[in-house]
Amino acid sequence: MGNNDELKGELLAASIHEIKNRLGLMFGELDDVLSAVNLSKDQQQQVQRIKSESQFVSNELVRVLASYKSLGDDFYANVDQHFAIEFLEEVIARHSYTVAAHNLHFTLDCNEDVSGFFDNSILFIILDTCIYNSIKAGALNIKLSATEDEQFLYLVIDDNGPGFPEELLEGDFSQGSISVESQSTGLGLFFANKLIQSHKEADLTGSIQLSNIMGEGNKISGAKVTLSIPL
Amino acid sequence: MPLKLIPYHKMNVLIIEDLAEMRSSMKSMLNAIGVQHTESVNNGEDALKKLRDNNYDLVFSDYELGRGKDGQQILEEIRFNNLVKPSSVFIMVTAAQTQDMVMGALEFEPDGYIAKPVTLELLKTRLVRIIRTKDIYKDINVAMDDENIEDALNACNRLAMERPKFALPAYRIKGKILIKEHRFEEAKDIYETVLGIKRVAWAILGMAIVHFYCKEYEQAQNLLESLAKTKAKYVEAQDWLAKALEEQGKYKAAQKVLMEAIAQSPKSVRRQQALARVSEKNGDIEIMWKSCRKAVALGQNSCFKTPEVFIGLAKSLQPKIKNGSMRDKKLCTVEALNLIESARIDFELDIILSLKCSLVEAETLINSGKEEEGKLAYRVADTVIEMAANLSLDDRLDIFNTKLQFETEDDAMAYGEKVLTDIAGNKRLQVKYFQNIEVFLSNRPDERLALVKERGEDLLLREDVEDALDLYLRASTFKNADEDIYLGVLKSIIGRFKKGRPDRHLTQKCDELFKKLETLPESDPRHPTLEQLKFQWEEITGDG
Repeated sequence: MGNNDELKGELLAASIHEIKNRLGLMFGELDDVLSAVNLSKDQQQQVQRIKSESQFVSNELVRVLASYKSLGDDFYANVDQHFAIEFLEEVIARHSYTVAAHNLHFTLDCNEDVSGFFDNSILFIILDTCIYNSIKAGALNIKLSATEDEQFLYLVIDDNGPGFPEELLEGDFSQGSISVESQSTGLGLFFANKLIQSHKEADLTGSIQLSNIMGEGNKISGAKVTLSIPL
Repeated sequence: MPLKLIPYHKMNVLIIEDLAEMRSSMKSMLNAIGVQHTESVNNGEDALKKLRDNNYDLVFSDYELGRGKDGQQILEEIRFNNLVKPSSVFIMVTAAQTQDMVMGALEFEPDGYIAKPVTLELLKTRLVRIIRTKDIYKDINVAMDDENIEDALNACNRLAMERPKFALPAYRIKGKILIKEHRFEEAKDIYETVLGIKRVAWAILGMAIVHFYCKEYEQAQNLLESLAKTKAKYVEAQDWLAKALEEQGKYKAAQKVLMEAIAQSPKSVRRQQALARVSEKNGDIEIMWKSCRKAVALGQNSCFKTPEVFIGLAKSLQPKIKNGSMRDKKLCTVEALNLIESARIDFELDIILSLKCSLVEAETLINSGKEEEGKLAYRVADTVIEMAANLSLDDRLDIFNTKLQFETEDDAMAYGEKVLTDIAGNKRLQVKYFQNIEVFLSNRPDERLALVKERGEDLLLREDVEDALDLYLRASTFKNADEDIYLGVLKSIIGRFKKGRPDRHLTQKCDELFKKLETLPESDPRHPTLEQLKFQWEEITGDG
């Protein structure tokens, strides 16, 4: 039985890997074709959406693969020192299609010298999860910031969307108990949390905290995700 | 450096990219940010030519370049031959899926990576960042441009003091410089300091390399194995692990490590050379042939080209020359003779390599049926054998092998006996020794079978089940293989399982052989042995 489950997993992983590579090729070709034709303004906006969607699909497959691997016993984070600003500005630059397609606006607030120890391929995935969650919730502004103290590097994603539903804030998503309404958001965060937990130093472990930003009149003015990564 | 001060318009830029559309899209993006002078090439060879003749401030290389050299090889050539000043910027463009294995170079690393798909936004952001970061290391690089080591080391210390957040990158550079200068004690101190702060993979690798150079192979091995367990991205760590294993005479383990590394990243000349070397030690002709062939092809126009793989390739072609089809025979003979000639013309061979050349030449000629010419070549080799001191035991086994073909059997065996005495206690070389004789006796099947049986019993007596199994399995394909051989296979497999090394493939083999031996009559003196083996097998498989 156990052996069969393992095979099932491997089959899926291999297949997803293959799909990811093929889609990458396809999207590359599509890009070339699209850049060779003259388009109206509306059509150009459509092209942006296609590019954004294709990037989403690619990112999603990368995320699924990494999430799958995170369930294995031999999952490791390859941590090295990274500067937060270099990492966050690359995250934003990678989302240029998303920005164009969703009229999104990114701001970056980070000191040049803030750094931490993390596996940046894993953190890219976690940041993507957060950004896509924000877009799905309807946010138009996303602020990325980074700070540090003696023990942790904090990467913070703020948006101006409707905030997290109460049950997601109260429920312990790190245990995988996810209500039906917020299932995909919850599942995404569950795996993001698993991924960040692979970052450990002494008795400290990486974690994700969710909160809502309270604005005027004590109304929710956005969602806030804080990633804590041990130094 | 403020953004606007990056003088893009003054920069000479080289783009190395095999796909035409990518080249032009890269060029137009660079133009869009103000770059005015770009040149581009579509392969590694042309890139190196350009780099030799011109100065570039900025080089973009795609990692995947189709056939020929990949980006990492170009970078290695560049760094090794100082084709690009340390203060110039080299950027590797990688596909997301290859990034993990690309980021595995400590010895020769680019200034930065850009992951595909490259958009204008991404190019701008990454370029500014990489150039700004490079500027932080400016003092170090200027000193390195002038080959002023002390200044460079001081600049590292200064950076670490003045900007503590850059202490680790500064130590990383310092460690590399110290290793290059063979100042291993100081390098050890640096890596110890870093590991005290954080166990980052590059510092573990650096420390292992220092241990290696200090001939502390076991410590190097332990560190590198711990690194392999974390699945760190460093392919280079596997190269060093293989080297540490090789120095300890653990050639089989070294071969395994190298084959894994090559499966991940096959285009490194030096990795293929290393595999060629250890597979020769292991007498694994098939792998030796493959790796030598790759190493010769990849070594063209490379600063890492060596004669060993030319001679090795010629040597590993011998089975095909001797036993192949007419067509194979012809082609391989020509190839081997060409390789020997290239080795002699392209390199200055020392006495041992010249000897090896002559030995392989003699073998090629006799195996292809040109006995008289072979004898002439052998005479040349023979005079060198007398002169050459410091022949390794592996070399002497090769000489013995050639003697078997050219001298009288008595003379050859007299030489062989001497070698056999000297390799007493070295299992690997003994295996090779007997393989030589086995091949020599291939036209005398009865004697060969007798030799195998004697050797097999000896191995089983010493509980060397792995070597016994190899031997018996090989012998089971002989035309005159008999019950003794089959029983030998069974004994070794069962011995192997008992030592806790089961193998599904071997289980099948066992079942097959028991079936084959069903016809052994009860009156046969070997029948009790067979019954005993059956009993043991049932115990192991739990069928009873």
